Amino acid sequence: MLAGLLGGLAFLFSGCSVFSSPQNTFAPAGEVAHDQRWLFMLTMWFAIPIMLFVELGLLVMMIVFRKRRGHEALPKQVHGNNALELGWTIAPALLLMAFVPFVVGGIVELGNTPKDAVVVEVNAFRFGWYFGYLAPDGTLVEGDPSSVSDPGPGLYIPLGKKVELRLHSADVIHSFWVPKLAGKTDVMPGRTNHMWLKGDRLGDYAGQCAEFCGLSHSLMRFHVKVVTQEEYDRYIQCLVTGEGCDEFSGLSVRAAGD
Amino acid sequence: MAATSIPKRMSFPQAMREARAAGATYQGIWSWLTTVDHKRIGVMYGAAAFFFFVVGGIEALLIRIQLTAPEQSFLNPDQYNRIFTMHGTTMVFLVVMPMGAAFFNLLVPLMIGARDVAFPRMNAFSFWVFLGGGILLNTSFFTGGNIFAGELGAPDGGWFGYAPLTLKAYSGGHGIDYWVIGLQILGIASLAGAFNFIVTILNMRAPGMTLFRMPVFVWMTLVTSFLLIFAIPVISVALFQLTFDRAFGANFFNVSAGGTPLLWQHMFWLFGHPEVYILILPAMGIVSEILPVFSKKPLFGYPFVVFSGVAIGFMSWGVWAHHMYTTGLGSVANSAFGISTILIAVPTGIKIFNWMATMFAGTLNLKTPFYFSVGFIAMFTIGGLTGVTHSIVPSDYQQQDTYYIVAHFHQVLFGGAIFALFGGAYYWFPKFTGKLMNETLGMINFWLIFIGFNLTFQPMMVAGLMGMPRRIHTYPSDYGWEFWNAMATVGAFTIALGVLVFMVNFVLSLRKGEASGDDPWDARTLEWTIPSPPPAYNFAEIPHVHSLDDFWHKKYTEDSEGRPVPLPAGASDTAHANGHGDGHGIHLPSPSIMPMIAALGFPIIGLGLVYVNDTHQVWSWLGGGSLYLLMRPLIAVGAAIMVVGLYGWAFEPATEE
Repeated sequence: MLAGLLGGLAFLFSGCSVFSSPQNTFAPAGEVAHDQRWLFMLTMWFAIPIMLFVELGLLVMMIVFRKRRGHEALPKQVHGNNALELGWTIAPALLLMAFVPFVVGGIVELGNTPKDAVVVEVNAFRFGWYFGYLAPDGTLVEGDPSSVSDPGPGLYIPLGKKVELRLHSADVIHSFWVPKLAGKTDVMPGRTNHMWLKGDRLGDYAGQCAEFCGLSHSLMRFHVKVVTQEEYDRYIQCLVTGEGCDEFSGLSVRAAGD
Repeated sequence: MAATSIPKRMSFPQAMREARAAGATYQGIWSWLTTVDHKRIGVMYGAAAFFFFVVGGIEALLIRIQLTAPEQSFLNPDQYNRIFTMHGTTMVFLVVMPMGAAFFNLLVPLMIGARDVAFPRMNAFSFWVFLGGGILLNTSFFTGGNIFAGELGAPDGGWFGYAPLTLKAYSGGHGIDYWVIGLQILGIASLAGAFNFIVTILNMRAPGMTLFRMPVFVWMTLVTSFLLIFAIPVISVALFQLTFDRAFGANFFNVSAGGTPLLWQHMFWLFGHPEVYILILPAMGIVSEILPVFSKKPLFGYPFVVFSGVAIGFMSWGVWAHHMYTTGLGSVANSAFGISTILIAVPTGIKIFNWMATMFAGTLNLKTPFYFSVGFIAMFTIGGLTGVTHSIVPSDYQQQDTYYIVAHFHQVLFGGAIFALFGGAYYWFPKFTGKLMNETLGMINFWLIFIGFNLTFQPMMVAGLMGMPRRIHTYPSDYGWEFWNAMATVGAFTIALGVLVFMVNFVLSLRKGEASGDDPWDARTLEWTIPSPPPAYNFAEIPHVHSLDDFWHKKYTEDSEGRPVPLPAGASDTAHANGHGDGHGIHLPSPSIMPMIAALGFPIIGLGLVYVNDTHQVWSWLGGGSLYLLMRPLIAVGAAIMVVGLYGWAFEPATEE
């Protein structure tokens, strides 16, 4: 029954229209977001039965043990039960400990940047983003910045490749978040944070700043475009030489809302 | 007589004596301003906190109206940021914390069989400092220019005030200054209250009331007070640093000068996480009092409930960085704080199971306080379980800073703390007024709030999982969030209606509620042994305590099967003797205006500090007139007032001869 419930939940989140969103964490398009959803659902296997037990337990007790008219006898005075109480101290503790390997494993996996990753420089400022790439000759080339009204060219990443993001902030704390590809990492001023992600499906994925950064925080949106290796190479070529950019220019004027 | 007497000039000491005499009459406004009676201070704490609850609630409704549909411009981004900052700040520091203080004040001395708190005037001081700080904080709304044109001056950095966003370079104006100074002042109030309750609980218990005969609520007060005295200094230091950065150009958080923004986060959450338990432990205490009374059974596993509360207190110091998983702390720190966060679920779980076991096989008296307490368990459990999902660090990277988090902590702080506080209000109302609150209105109140709560916050959980971040003033129309946001807005107004019903019920019951008698619920703790409302001196005769739930055992004995058998009236001579004496010969501390005068100094000093670098316009209204003042001297004026208050306080006799 539980499996059905959880499966139904996952289905609803990915299928039904009120449950669909370009930023839906339940419709992952990359390895990191996929693993994160899996781990969240794993937690639900533990959390939902306990929730049902408590909520239904309370409801049943309210009905069964309610004071009835003409029923004046007082209940037996139970002061406690050490064995029972030790049980519900130790059992949840052991159950919870079962999560530790997943937690630590996940932290280490996401914390260690893959060695063969494509490196991208992410720059955040109030209120926009721009992205820098390594050209074949090792120099840094940068795309145009986004702004509150212009979504900019977005971040291009090659399909199926692990991409290391180096996060830099020019002013206050921001947070880089593309829900369908990976959970967020804060972009701190004065230090470089790292994260990695991988796009497993071609597409255009919405992201936005997830750390409150002032007046137009809500409008600090951006896009990540998962493209084929060839298209990625052509984009880098466009940034380096300024040629062949026509196929990319149309994208930058698309509304941020799609 | 009064008409014929010619008023004479009195000497100052004479005037003070007359004022104290007037205060001691328990009538008129003067008696409230000078009161040192813990019950009256509790009432004032409760009234002020409820006022701020309404203010914070209106802010919440404004936020909900703005977010009802996508791309709305009911509020502009600037107004939105200021209003959500004040909503969070108000609800934490001006509502739930002082509501806790209100219940401590009203109940702790009564529950431990004392005539007042250990330091009655410091208690009054604590309240007036709180009120001054709260008013100062909210004054900021009026300082942004023309408020009638919607120009607000309130802080705009979020209730967590993350540096460097809160530095002068990114948040000009004085909103953040009001926030920093306001919180600093509120911290003083909390510290004064916390020390007072620790000394009261440790030193002033009635004979025979050992620590393990104390009601759980008193235990939770003790734990909360200890958390306060260790947590408040941490945020005080952080606030001083921010003040120095903003006012005097220090560089604690200024990155370009080598400062570290993460320092603020560590300090803030090292305070902020114990703070979460400061907010919830009093609520757990209230529920632990209500459930046994309405189940007609003792609390299941009293030592487990007490020790798990103490364990939560200790463990709350080891989980602060779970607010910072995404800041790049590194794998070791994230793992350690992930595991400690997993573990803090254990003592919380113990409490939930023990409360359920208390209800099990009881005779459940389904009255409003009980409904709110069960609602507390039901909602707090969801809050706790969603809390466990935050300890799963890798998947929390997705949920951090989304509406899932907003839903989670409202589940804990509204579904938890506020539910329990409503329950407590219904439960103890008869004790302090001698009247019962109306049950029908109580049920309407509960169901409106319960349904409204679920309509508001469960959809937020979905919106968060669907990728909606926190603290955004608007969102695009095709992101799939509008259905959930519209639902949340409907829920928020349902809650507001519920709060309105509570206010109506409170006023109606106060005016013509059914008489309650001394012990309407057949309760277990000492406050129910004395008349309702209690006399100024609480206990005519200090009770002698022989067991946990002493009052119950004076009313009932147990047969061989463990079922309670009522003792014949009068069998226990102390059961009804307590508090019914005439109170002659009891020395109570005299009323004093001095704590209020001393407290008045703080907001004045604060105003001077907010404008310490300003020599120009500080106020304008209606787009026309302006007020130009040099504000810095206010620091000296406030300090002088405080010294006068403290001097008078020190030299005034504590009791009349």
